Amino acid sequence: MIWRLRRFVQRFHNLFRHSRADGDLTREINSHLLLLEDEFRRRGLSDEDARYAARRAFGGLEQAKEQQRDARSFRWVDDARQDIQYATRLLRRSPGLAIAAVLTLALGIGANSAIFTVVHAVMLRPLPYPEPDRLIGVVQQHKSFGVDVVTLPDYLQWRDEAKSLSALAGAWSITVNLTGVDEPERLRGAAVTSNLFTTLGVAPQLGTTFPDSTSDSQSVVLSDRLWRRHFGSAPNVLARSVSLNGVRRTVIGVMPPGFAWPEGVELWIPLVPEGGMNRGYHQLQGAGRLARGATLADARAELEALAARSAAAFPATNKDWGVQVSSLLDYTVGAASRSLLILAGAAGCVLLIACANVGGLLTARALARRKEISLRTALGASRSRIIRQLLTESVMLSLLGGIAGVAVAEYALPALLSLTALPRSADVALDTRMLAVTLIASIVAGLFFGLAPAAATSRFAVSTAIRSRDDVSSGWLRPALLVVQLAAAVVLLSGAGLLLRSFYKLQTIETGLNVDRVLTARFFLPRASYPVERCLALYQEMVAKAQALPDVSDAAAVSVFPFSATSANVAFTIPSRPDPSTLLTANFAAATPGYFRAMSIPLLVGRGFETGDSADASFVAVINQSMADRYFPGENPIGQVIQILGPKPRRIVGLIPNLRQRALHLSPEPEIYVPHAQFPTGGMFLVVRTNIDRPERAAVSLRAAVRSVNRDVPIASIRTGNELIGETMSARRLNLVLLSVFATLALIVSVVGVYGVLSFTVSRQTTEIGVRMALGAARRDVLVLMIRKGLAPVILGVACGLAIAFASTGVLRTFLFGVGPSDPATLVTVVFVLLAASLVAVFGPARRAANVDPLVALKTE
Amino acid sequence: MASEDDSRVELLQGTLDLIILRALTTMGPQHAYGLASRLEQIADHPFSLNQGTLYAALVRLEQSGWIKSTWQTTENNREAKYYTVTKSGARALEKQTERWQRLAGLVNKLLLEESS
Repeated sequence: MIWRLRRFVQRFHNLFRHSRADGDLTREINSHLLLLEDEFRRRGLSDEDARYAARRAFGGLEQAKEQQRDARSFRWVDDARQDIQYATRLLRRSPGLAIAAVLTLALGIGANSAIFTVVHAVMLRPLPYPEPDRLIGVVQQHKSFGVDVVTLPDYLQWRDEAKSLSALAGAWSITVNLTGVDEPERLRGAAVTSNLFTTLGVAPQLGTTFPDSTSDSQSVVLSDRLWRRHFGSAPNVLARSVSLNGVRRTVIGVMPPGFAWPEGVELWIPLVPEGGMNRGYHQLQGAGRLARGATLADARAELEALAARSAAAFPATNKDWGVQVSSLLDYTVGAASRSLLILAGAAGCVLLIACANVGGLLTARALARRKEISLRTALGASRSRIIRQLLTESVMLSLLGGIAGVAVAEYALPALLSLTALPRSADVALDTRMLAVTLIASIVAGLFFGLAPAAATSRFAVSTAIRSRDDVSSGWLRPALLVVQLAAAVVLLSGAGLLLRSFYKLQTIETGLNVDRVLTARFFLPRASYPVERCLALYQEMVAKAQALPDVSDAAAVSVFPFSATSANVAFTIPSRPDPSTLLTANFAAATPGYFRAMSIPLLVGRGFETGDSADASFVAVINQSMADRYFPGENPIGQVIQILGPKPRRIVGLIPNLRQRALHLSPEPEIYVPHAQFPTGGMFLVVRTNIDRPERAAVSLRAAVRSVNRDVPIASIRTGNELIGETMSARRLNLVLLSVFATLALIVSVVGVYGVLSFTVSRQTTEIGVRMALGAARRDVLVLMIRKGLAPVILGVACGLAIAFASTGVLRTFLFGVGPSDPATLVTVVFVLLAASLVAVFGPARRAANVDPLVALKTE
Repeated sequence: MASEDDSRVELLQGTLDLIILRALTTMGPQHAYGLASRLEQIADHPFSLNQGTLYAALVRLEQSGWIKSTWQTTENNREAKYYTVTKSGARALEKQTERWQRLAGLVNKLLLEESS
């Protein structure tokens, strides 16, 4: 019906030309009246009588106008406009309240917007591949060692035999030096099976990907980002040759924007199975696609069965190894989701506190406005009209809070992302969807905290208001809101307290390492450009140059620095055992002579490495206590022989204590060190012990020393030992910092609320207090009475909060270390802090009550 | 007051629109006063209708695009807003009349059956 639409448009249009339409109407009605007067005069009435008769014939002037206005436009919009004008006037009249409310809401809404944005980007946004819900991630899981990536033989077996999977791809994360371009760079890449791209269902935007036969191993596929950065999006990049770790490779394709699997990878090369079919070598990240009609559970059951078969067939390597199958999204997001959900819950608590707080403020004001509201009711305003007016005010406040909240989120988001490395968060930005959510959140929050005061005030009967004495018993609403706030504050504070204690316990864990004065520089010398002799000579020379620097006391090099996340797990055998072919595993590192000294690691028994431990000399190794305990229990490990990475037997010559090298919360694992000369790997950390308290000050001279040895070696980064160790704490830091910030906010807002409620009570009960004092109550009695009154909702809130905290801190369990989720010390501290702060807050108003002059108080009656 | 109220014609919702459309079609362009006089004439009951009540109906019709208005001068040299039926107004009148007659027929039939 076109005319309906037409009429709607016109009515809408008339919203904005109110005065013109009204002028036109008045003119028309005036002319109507004149015509009527003419008629009456014609019938013989006098001028005055004619005017009167015309008015009567026309009927109610204003009613006619109102009716026409109703028909002409949307009445409720006009009402809303009126409400908004009125609310604006009121807010301007009490800017303090407006600012307090808007700020509180801005923090609540801002925190929620920022965290929602991250939760959406990391956890909810589907993976950018077709039919993402059919994609799965696969890892192997050992009964006691936990999860690890997949070995090549296991991968191949699953790929070929699993019927519930239409495809299974594998990727091995590597780091490469990109040279032969303007700006050499160290990049993250992946060596992948040729079916990776088809498994994920993404075709290159340019060129092709790897053919199914792995014969062509000299090609590389670039990510869109890398292509833009290094090749200026040039289409002729195909067939260009680049150098990766000194190997020349031909660019055969460019993937579309957003394609990065494994997470953060910028180029792909074909996987050449270097480690061979070693069932002890966990290497591949597995990504598969479910066959049509197959479910995640089908795949899980089938791969479990295959793993059980392998465990029976190859007990030496596959015993106790199961499999863990999850959606590729869960696989990619991993542990971050738990952490984010906790933060989202905490942010929700903050918003709840903010709403309760603003609700309290508005209730107080609405109570103060009882007279005005009663008057309006008496003059005929309907209850719904008054509720609408009050809701308009609160929604306006919360919208303002929402706008300010967007500004808060704008600052909070980068801060949030900088706290930790979250997966899928590279391109997170505030977007229109976030703005929409913020808007909705504001309106909902406004309705939520506006309803209580609106319902309370609109019920005022005219009679009570005219009597003007406040009905004290009706003041339950604000204390109730206060209880909600305090309960939420207790929950947040307990969570933050538990994380803080865990963090503190971890910080003080004995790593066995003393790296306060240690500086490290990371290098990678690819074999293709740096043959064995050259590689060894270069490292030897760099160590010597570093050693000669003024502030340096010791220098050495090692392939795996503690906590650098480069740990290498290798398989070895003990030839003297009855089953000499059994593969065993341990962490492995190559080190130059002097490494243990530079790291202040004492030798418990035997010796460290010496310059004599060259490639020609007999092969030696140093092991740690955990290795000795696990593989040589009750024996003297010195002199034992192992076989590792090659056929040549290796004699154990030294024993070092257990050090925490991988993660603070994991117990020490078996470790094997070998001399660098006998395992000349190209990727090493230069480790320098300085004799200054701020080792980073030696960075400049260290860089210069390295440059003087070889100008072409790219230095990845120079970091202090403590920095490298600190990075492993970063995931914990995110939760800790944010939860602490939230908890502090909650504490402040709640304590302000406690103060506000009691001040308000005191000001309303001045007369009553006056009467009590006139009847002989001492100041002390009044003080105690008021403090008791002020603390009552606090104690109730704390009790509720404790109950909720007991029930809910369990979700924090995986983030805790050394404390239980209901650690009594933490909870007691939280309660104590809240009570102490509340006591301070109630003391001011209570003293004011005690200082009431009975004469003055009674006169105000 | 009560007696006066009783004598007024209570109009069914929507019937006023139909009556105005019909009056404008038969009389040609008219101003609100002219329409009001005409309605009173038909009702055979002088001033039985508050003339002001016409305005809501007029703005409704105009917004639906069924009538349009222009300011003109009357024979007595007064200015007045004249309303004219548009083409879509004429079509609407046809439809509405038909509907009204169906409805009226139905109501009549029901009333007659009830009384017989």
